Amino acid sequence: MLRHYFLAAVRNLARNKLYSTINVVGLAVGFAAATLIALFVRDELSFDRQWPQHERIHVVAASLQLEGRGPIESQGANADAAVRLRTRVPPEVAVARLTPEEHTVRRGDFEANETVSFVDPQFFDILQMSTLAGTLDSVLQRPDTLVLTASTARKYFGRIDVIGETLELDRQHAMRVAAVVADLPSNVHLSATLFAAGRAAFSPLTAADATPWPPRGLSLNTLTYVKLPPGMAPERVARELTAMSAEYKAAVGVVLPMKLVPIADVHMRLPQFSAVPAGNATVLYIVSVIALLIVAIAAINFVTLMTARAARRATEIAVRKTVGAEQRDLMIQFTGESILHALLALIIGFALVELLLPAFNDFTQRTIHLSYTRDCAFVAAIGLLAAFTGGLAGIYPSLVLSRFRPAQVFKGGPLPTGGSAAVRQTLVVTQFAVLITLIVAATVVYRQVNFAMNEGWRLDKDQVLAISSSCGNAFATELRKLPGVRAAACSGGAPYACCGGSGVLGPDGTQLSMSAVAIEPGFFELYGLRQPLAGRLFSADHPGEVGPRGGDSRFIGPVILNATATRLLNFASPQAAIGQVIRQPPGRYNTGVESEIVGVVEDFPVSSLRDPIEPIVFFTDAGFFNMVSVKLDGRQIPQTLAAIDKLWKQVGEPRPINRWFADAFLEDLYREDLRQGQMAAVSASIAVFIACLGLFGLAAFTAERRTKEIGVRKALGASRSDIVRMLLWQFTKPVLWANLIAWPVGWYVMHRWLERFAYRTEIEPWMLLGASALAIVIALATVATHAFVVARARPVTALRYE
Amino acid sequence: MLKLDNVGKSYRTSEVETRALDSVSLEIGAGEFVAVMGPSGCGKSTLLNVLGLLDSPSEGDFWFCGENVARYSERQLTALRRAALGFIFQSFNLIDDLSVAENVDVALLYRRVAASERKRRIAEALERVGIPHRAKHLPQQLSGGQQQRVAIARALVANPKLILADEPTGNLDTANGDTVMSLLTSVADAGTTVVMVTHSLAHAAHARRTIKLLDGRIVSETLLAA
Repeated sequence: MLRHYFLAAVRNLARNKLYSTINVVGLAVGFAAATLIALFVRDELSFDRQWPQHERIHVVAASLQLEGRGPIESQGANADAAVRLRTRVPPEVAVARLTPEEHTVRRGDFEANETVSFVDPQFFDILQMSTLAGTLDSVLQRPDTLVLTASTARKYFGRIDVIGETLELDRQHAMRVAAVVADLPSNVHLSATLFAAGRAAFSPLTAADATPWPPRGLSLNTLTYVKLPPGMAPERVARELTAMSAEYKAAVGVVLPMKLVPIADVHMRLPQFSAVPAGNATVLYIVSVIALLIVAIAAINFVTLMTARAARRATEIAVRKTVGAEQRDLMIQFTGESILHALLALIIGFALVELLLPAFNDFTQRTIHLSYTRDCAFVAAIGLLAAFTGGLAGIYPSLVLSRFRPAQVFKGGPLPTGGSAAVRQTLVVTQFAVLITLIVAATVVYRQVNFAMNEGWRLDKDQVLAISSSCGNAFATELRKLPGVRAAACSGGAPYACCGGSGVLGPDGTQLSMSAVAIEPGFFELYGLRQPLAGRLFSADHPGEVGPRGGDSRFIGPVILNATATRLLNFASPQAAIGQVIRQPPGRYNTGVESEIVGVVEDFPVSSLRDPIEPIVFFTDAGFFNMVSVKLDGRQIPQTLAAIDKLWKQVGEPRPINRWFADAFLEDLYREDLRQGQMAAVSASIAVFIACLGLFGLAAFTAERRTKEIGVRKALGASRSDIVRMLLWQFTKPVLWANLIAWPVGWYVMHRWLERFAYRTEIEPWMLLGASALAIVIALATVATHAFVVARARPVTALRYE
Repeated sequence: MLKLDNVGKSYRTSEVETRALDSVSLEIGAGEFVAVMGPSGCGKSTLLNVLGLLDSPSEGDFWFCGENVARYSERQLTALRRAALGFIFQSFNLIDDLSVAENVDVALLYRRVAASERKRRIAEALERVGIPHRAKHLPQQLSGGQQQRVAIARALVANPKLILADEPTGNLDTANGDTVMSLLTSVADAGTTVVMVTHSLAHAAHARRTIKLLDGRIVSETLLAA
């Protein structure tokens, strides 16, 4: 029996090439998209699960709570947290730190800027990595040792057997390679490529260990790993962290809750630390829903085409019933046929996945693999999904088909399709609702990212180059003289990625937190901000506004506030702030100096638009400079860059130049959002493609079914355009109905998405109308061919069809 | 074997009621060959559908092998059809995607007959209708006459007690029509009851009894002398 069903299904598939292709290709593309998305979701959920005994490894995550601001979550903790924790927990608890820091690394003539991860010797006992050369046993006990990843070893030596070789950090610290480990996979929270002994004299860990308690400031830039012995509950360590938080509060006056986060949860629960973007559960839910929607659209094609073509199989069904087939037999047959379609599509889908995986990895910046032997549970799950989809898609058609009554079929009367035309219409409407929603989503994401990178940013970023430099030598001066350089200004951080927090006293004496940015006169002008809201900008004409101040204070001398800072300090207006003073609390950070407010500038975002604009105080202490912004005139940029590089080598700091364009930095800042936008666009395109396949099939079927009707209409005087209009209108209606679902759903979902941004665009009516118009154009373009072919046929041909 | 007692059949749409059979009473014995004739729309096919358990009467009783099946459920009718009936249609109604042998096989498939037994019986049935060499062909590769012989093989293969033929020669030329009639006669001679709807007097002459219908009623019965 099964063999018979199988044969019948295969032959039916082969005989109805157009419809079979539409079904199989649609499902295959759907399965491929769903498999890629499932691989991505699996990868996201697999972060840091490959470490041996990962369930015993935790990260100490601190969150800084400052007055006037929301809590600042971090993956890191202050460097002293690990040291203090070690004294509080049993010796079986392993604790190790990793602090990343920028250094130059040189071998011979080759030198590059690298992020060096300084780690405690126990680090590799906790995060056990596979060695390709050397050994990790007691590695990094010596202060002059390094561990390289394979790609870093190849970068500097061209090979990986480099044990005992030397690399020079900052042109002065000779470090010996003690081991080479495999490159870290893309699904770990770290992006380290070069590990150095934390015991090195120049290591930030050594510096932190030498700092007496209480610390002068807090910097949550150290990843602190804790590996519990078997059987120890994490609460045991968490209790100590709570006690330590209380000590920070008492000694430093800062509320710094610390929690123990299982390493496998770091990616999804904590914000980004290294170059690896943090996971986002909402995005995972959204992409999973999109994957299911794409499969659903393909399954809908199957249902619509099967029920539409039911009449074609009526005779077969009637014959089978006549000779004794029960409804159950026929349901098994047709559902089986549907599952066969789905499994065939699955095979093609997997082939598509193989083809697309490299491009998908490029797109997601991952190294996702699919191994049919190792990942058999995953492959089986996708196979089950395919069979389930096939089965589900086959149930309704099989129910409709198996209910045909032979007597009616043989008599040639209308078939009892059980409302399948209405169901078909509903499904087509659903398909278009989904794809209009996806088009709306793609439009909104692109518009928001565009807004974030352009007008939302408010400052002029075109042709602005940033160079990492302390501005303490002739470089910044000489730079301004280069042809192609319009202006240059030093600062302590870029206006789009800054800044350290600093305490100021509010009008009632409470301590408030503001971002403090050191800038040079001309800085605002360079970024296109020429007029302050009130007062004046810094100027070289005021001698007190140039050069280093020194001392303990973050800002001495005149300051400029942004508008948010004036509101935080309760000034009635920007103008009211001019001539007033702000005070820093005396003690740890400064000596309690007062600074005069000389200007107020408009707000502009200093980090991602996701975060609200912070209150900022700008001051002019050259001692805090760490970068120079350079406005280029936009002509002969390669030559200008070459001249800047040459100048750096001549008079710059003794390391390779580290420079970037502001717009490229912003692109990086919104890369994840851009990626989400591209994902929505690609998903929408796939959904459009599959839905169009279905519509194409439905149009072909309609053209076939209505041939006689069209012949009669033409014989009675209908023109070609009347017929085309009639057919096109038939396919426009479901798209119009789909808007009723797509508009509210699209608006609601994207409204929620936009809420993640403190500064955002609005969803405007044209976006909804445009998406619908696009869907209509796509639908009409898909069915137009059939409509024209049918409309062109001579009436006699059409009538002869019967 | 078959007994209709005041059987009526009406079809209702929202506004119109069509009476296809009106108080039909009829008895057909085992092994009889009966021809049903009448003009188009007189109820021949409806009668055949009722006799073939494809449709249930709206009123009256229908006794099939001693059981009143007039109120049987679809499931019971299916079981009975599977066990006792074979059908031959004017338009052959072969399944295009299946080969000749597979088309014949469909009649055995739902009876859960073992594969080896099915193979033997298919070969026998095709032999009986004279097209064993066409077993692997698809229906569209055969002539009309050959297709109808496949349909007869399909009707015969399960050894039914009753064969219903709805204008089996309607789509055939004279020579092929005669061949089909010879086959049906030999089937009836072998003891299977055959009820055949036909427009052809010549073909009706093969039957022992001819029933004429008009407006859903039996208007005459002719018994051919043995």
